[in-house]
Amino acid sequence: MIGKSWIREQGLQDPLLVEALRRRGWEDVPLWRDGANKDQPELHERRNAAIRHWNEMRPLRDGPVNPERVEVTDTAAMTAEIKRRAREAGGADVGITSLKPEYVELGVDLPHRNVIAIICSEDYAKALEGPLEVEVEAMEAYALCADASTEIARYIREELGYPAVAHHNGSFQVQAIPVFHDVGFGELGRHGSLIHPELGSNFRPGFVTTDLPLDYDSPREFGIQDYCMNCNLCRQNCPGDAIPDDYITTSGIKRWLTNIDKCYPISRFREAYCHICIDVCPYSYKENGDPVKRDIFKQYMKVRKDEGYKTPKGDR
Amino acid sequence: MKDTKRPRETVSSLNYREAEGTPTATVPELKALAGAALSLIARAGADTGEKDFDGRPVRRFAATISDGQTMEIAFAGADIPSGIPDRTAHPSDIPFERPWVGDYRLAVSAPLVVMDLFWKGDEPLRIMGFSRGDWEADLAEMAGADA
Repeated sequence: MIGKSWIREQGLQDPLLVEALRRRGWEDVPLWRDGANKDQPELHERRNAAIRHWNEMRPLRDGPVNPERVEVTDTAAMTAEIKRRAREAGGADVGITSLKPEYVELGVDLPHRNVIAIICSEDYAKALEGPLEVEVEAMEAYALCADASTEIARYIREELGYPAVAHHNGSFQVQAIPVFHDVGFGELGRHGSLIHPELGSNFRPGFVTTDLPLDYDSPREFGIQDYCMNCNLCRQNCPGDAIPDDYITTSGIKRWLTNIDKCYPISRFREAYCHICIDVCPYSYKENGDPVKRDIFKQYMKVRKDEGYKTPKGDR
Repeated sequence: MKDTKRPRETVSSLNYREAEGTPTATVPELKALAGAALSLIARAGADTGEKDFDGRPVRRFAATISDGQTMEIAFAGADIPSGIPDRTAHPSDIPFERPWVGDYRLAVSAPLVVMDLFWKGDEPLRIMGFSRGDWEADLAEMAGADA
């Protein structure tokens, strides 16, 4: 099927970032310059190792399919086995749905029937340890997603005999948010990331597209979009004022589109990783009632207050 | 003019999606949406007297759309072309074609920026932003109604 979803490239492959650099007369992104994080070399190396890892996993995304195909007579059992293996490989949650053009990169022909979404969680406590700790956690979650998606794709191809391709940071042709929504991981939040009832937005994605017959999950609504209509914590705490009041709608679903022109000066043009909109989101603890996460949230909000940001009046 | 000097490669510069399979033919939906926006600018766009960052004159068109919000089309360029290039820049070329300055920039907000295109003559199009949504039908309908 031919994809209908445009995917923003990262780094210097994004023409908007390149244009923002040109307007500043800059060659490169401060966060990525050699010499960044020089006071924390071990963390810097862990971050770079994670990036190298998913790049090394890139050639393993696809491969030969075993010609002796396993007949799937019980799709529920096969679905359970795939989910079990994905969790064993590091996934914190796994969801499956039929592949749709809305999930696939604009103009790309991805000839598979199904998509398996695997999310790997980030440790929320890192929010209290500083931007580089948060960045390392994010990059290592991405690397784990690369491992998990690569292993599931390999299993499907080599042991079950069905085509399967892994999609992760090394390379992907799948747009994450609509898949997440449709497999029931949660709802899109004001900050532009999907909010999961247990994980908040503290997770990273990997996918497998495949022809393996599987049962599908369904979207779940638990009131996030209504909550976000009244909660402005992410918007109030965004140093770049990049999170909007307004939203657009796509098939009845609200989408708050982050203003990337305003986001980049904070998320790219400082020498510190920005994860603030995720870390101030109360849904990191709200739905699951996790007292540890609630305590982290309170401590983190104190950090934000010390930095001059206020909790908006009337916020829940 | 292209600057073919490759930027120095660092570990972080590899933090890009390998995009070998990304097509470079501009998809028909994008051409149709851009054509609709350009036709509205040509027929009803107001010359604002503004100049953009590179001194291009800016024209704007605004209208209320189906959800009651305002759609605004902003176009920067010395003249109004009839369409956008048939080819789209491949992501892997972007880092190596710097500095690059387009002749035309077209942005649609509904009310958030949902389409932002930058191009220069017949050089491949640069998609600065594109978010699918209900606004597409509104834009097509407005352009059709205005025709």
